[in-house]
Amino acid sequence: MLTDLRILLLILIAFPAILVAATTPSSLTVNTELSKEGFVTLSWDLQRDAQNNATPVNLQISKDAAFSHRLRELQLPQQNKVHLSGFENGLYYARLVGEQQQPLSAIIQFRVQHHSLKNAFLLFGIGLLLFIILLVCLLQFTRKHAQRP
Amino acid sequence: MISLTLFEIFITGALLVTCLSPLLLIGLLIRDWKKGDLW
Amino acid sequence: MIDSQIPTQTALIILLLFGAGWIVFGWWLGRRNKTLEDYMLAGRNVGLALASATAMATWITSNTTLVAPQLTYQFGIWGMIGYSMAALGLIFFAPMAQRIKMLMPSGYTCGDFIRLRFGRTAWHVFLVVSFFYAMGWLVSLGMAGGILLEALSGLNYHLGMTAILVICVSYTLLGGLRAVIATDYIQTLIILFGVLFIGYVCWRDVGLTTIYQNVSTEQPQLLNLLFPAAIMFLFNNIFFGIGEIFHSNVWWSRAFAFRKGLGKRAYLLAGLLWLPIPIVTGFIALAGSSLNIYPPSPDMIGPLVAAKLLGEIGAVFVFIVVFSALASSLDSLLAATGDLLTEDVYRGLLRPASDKQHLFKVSKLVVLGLGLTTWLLCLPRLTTLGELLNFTGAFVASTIWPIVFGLYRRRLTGTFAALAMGLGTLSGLFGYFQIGFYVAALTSCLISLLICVIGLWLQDAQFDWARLQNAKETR
Repeated sequence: MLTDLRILLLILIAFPAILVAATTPSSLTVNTELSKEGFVTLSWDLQRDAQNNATPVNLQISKDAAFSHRLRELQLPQQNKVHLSGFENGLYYARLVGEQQQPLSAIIQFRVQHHSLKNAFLLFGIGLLLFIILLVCLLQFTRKHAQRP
Repeated sequence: MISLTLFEIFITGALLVTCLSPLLLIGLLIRDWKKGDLW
Repeated sequence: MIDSQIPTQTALIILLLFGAGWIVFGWWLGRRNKTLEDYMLAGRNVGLALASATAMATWITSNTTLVAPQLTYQFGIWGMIGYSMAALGLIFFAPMAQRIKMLMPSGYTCGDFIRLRFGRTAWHVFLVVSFFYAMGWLVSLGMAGGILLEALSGLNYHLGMTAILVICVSYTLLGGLRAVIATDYIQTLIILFGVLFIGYVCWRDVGLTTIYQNVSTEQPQLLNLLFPAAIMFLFNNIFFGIGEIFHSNVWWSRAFAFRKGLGKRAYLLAGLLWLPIPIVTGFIALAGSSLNIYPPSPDMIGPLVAAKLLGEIGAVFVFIVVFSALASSLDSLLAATGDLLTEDVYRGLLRPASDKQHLFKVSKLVVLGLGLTTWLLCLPRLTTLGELLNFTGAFVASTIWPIVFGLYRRRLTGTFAALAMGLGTLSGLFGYFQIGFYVAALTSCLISLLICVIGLWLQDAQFDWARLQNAKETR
């Protein structure tokens, strides 16, 4: 009786997951929820039809969850991951759709927040200073030693 | 954002300079070889 | 991935042809090697053409052809410019190469210089830095060979990796530095023609205006000149590159091998010719969106675009270019690291009384042993080993100032040189693990400079330059 209950419990818990899996068979994942450099890698399961051919998938990227205005729409028939770059700051949504625009995956999101320009310029400044010191040293030393062989 | 003109000058310039490299290296080799100065 | 691959059979044929050609060439050149001078330093009289080409070829690695497009794809304009700045290492080394030859006409390795200039302690610290970097680079090149050949042609990793190592070890073993330099020259031309052709076709068929328009719509950040991450990483990468060149025996052995008075011009020319190459190899990555190419991983953008533009011919070009870039760096590294082991470890630490003829024989065995060790380390395909190269930035950047002050000022003592290298490295590693890779070289360089400045202020070694003239001075 207890074992039956446990099994029932398991099925009840698993049922939503099974449902989701049945309606959205392709698990779309992103390698990082927050990108500081503006690039991400998205991965998914390759869909195969009855003849074991890869079914065509479209990857849609948008800045709104309703996908009313799509930033990018890529046809990626052969691959199961893609590396996208060049994003500006913001929150982005991604999903996979089939040829008839039917959703093939859940909608996932990722945020792009570039490093602060302040930190960037700080490190740039330190580097530039060191660089100038090196340049000046080399110029001075070379000149001095050229004068007296 | 970099302007289109600057972008074009930048890339085209790099291509042109790189075109000169093999010519220069071959020319130098011929010169060194004729003088018996290869190594 | 399928699009950018060539048939495995084609790959094998290319490898066999190049392999046979280089090995025969190496054997033929090696017949005139009679002395240690011939073998390690190509007779100490290399002319400008071969000198410039070898400096250029060695600094063009598979990274220059494959990582430049990757960095452009990720960081845009700055990715290209940042990578180009690695040429500064060659350019800054130019006057130093001249001075090295002038100060040490009978020197063999950078180890010789550090030992004579700074003494045993600094020499030991320096050797640790050098070997860590050298093995890191050797292993990453060996692994890259296997991985890249597999990605480009389906050739099994172990087979590809072994083939490249066997070819490079063979002709380096047979021909010494002469074989390395001669093959470098030919490989430079191959690389230049290859990348120019691919770049030209991209420029002609896609067009810069189209590329610009598509990138500004789809990947606007790539055209941003204020790309924060790129600005942040810039000088760290520059100092990594400068540290690599200033300390490594790959470049010092060439300084000793080039004809007197030529070092500066050769390195300057090599640096200037190298400068635009990452831009030529990199910009094709920006054509990705115009060609509907969205790579599964960023390092494949270059080969994918080349294959799309030129078909199978493009893929073959990429294969040959990548092979040439790998071989031209691998052979130099084998030779130079072998020299360090022979001269500094074998003669310096183990058998000081060895004569030159004996060392000549030993140096060949060392190259063989080094090749075998590299192969063994590459066998398990531990990517973490390949990533070792990433934190050598902390190590190599610490050597910049001791070497610069050591070559040009009498004041800096061995104690402070050793401290600068040791503490520089440690602080760089601390920065690497606590903050990120992008501060490792910068931190190391900064701390090293501070210690050197303190050393210059506190002590005066009053070093006599004449002591460097005879490199055989007993320790």
